[in-house]
Amino acid sequence: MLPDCLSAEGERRCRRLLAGATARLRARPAAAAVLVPLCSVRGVPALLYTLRSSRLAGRHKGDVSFPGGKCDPADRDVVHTALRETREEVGLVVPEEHVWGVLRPVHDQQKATVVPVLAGVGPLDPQSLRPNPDEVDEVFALPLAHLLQEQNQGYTHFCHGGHFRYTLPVFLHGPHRIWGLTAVITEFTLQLLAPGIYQPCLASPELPRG
Amino acid sequence: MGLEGELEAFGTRFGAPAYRQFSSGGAYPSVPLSSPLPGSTDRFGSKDEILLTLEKHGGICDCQTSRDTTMYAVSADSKGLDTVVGLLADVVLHPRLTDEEIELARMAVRFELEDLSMRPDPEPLLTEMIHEAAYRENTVGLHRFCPTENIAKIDRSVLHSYLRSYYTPDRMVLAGVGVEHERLVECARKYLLGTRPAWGSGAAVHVDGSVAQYTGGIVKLERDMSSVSLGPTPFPELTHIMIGLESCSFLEGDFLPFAVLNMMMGGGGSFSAGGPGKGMFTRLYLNVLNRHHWMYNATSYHHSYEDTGLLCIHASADPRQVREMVEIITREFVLMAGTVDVVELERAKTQLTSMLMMNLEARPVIFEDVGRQVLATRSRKLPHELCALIRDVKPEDVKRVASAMLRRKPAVAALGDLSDLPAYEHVQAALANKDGRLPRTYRLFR
Repeated sequence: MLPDCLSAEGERRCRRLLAGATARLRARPAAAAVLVPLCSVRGVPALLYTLRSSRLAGRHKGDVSFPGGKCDPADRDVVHTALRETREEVGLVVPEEHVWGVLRPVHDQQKATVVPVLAGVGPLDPQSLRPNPDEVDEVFALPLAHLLQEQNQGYTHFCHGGHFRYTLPVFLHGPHRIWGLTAVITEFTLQLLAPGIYQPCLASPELPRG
Repeated sequence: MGLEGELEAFGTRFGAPAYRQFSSGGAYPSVPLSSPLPGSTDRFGSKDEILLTLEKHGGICDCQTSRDTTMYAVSADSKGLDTVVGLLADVVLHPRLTDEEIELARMAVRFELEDLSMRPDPEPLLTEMIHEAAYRENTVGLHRFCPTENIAKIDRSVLHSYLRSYYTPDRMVLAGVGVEHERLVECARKYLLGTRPAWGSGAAVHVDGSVAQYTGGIVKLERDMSSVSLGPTPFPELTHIMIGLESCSFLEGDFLPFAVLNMMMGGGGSFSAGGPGKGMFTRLYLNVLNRHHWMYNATSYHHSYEDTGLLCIHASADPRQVREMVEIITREFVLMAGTVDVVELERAKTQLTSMLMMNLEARPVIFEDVGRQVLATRSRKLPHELCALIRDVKPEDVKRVASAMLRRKPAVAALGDLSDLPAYEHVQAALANKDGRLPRTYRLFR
């Protein structure tokens, strides 16, 4: 049974669990930060994702990701980056008090650190959001119940030079496939919100790389 | 070849994901398996015995491995059903895999690899490269052909380990064409049910159930193609490129629109005899090969698997015109999402339907179709159902699937003299551009 993570009790528990990491990592410089928006869509807990615009240049065009982006020197800390980017890309303003904490950072192919920031944004209707068309093509929410169903979970082994290197999770059957770093961050979130229910895919010996 | 009774084809098909991660990766375990077929088995002492047995029933046999399936097929007289199923069961489940046979297989694999790099036809190599580029380091992107360093490492225990994991009942389909269902089931019960395979029934090594992840990317191979001709007639020096985008798996509803789109693009070599049904009015002929006489080749391919698909266009031209060639291809891709002429679409649909029906006239093809469909979907769509579905494809469907496809990152494979090849980012920008043009670069020296 999915624990009620949107309840006050659930929130306190998550904040408590993330407190240590948040204190350590908040001010540490990183390349980029993303916001993991835990929202309630018609009463159902869900995570909000964006489909990056295909007009963007660069490696992430057309990919599914969480709202977020590169850290700017003007940002106070990674939390500030995540909130600013979310506001710019999706038009969603999240007050800092709604941030629950910082999840384990992930590294992309260039070894740059990406810090996920978890926030509870409350009831939300994805259709009402006005995303910036230059950066985001589509905003959609995936219910936690969907992500926790085994038939929607998959994994992919990656090899390099003929040897197995690492495994990445993948989430299927949504409006778009969730893969790469976004899937890894989703996995961290599910492990936090639904421990014991979510079985993480095989761990890799090295840090997950995008 | 006059034969009594009915000719039929039957055999087993495995959904063995031969391309998935298995120790050093690649489809190589299957290649040695297919090469010695028919090798010796418990009941048949040698390859010759197998062939002699088949000869009594006017039969031929074959084994083929592709990226996602392995197929053991036999065509023989229907009276020999019992013998043939027994033979197949034996070959598949009880191969002896003697050292001699494995050594012969290794030699065959080495020869195949050498041949691959020597031949003027770049097709198989480019297909490998585009898969590698599109699915970086995972599943379908792993090499289908065994890398040279790994050939020596394959021995009986490696093969058995692979067989134990992947040749399991849930991954096998026995299909027959031109034979009564009940008789086939009876033979299957007799030879396949309850037998203990040669590799024992130990626990399966972790079976790789990876989902194919499309990443996009570029794979380049610089090679001097100035003298690829194997004979006295010179072959023009060409640079080959292939640009691909993710389509969809054959299980999804969008598969048929992609198939029709692929037919609509068509294409082929510019030195082609043509003829009815050849596709002379397809886009790649009309818009590319007929207008740009310096293009040697422009062909569209659609590879489709259980969890993903790849639509790509292969083009070849002189190395000095690579940049123009790339721009022409990106333009064609972008135009796929534009208006689709109704006549053009109907022509493509008719061509697809007729190709489907023509191919399904041959029993071995029917067998492969039955096996593949049942393996993937546990059911079979009959030809007339497929034709009805093809008829239902509308211009909006094609436009929709093409637009969705164009959002994703491209996969690029390039072979030959690559000095004029645009950067990957430029190709990406061209595909995002509404007229498919590469970004302008200014060069002082041409």
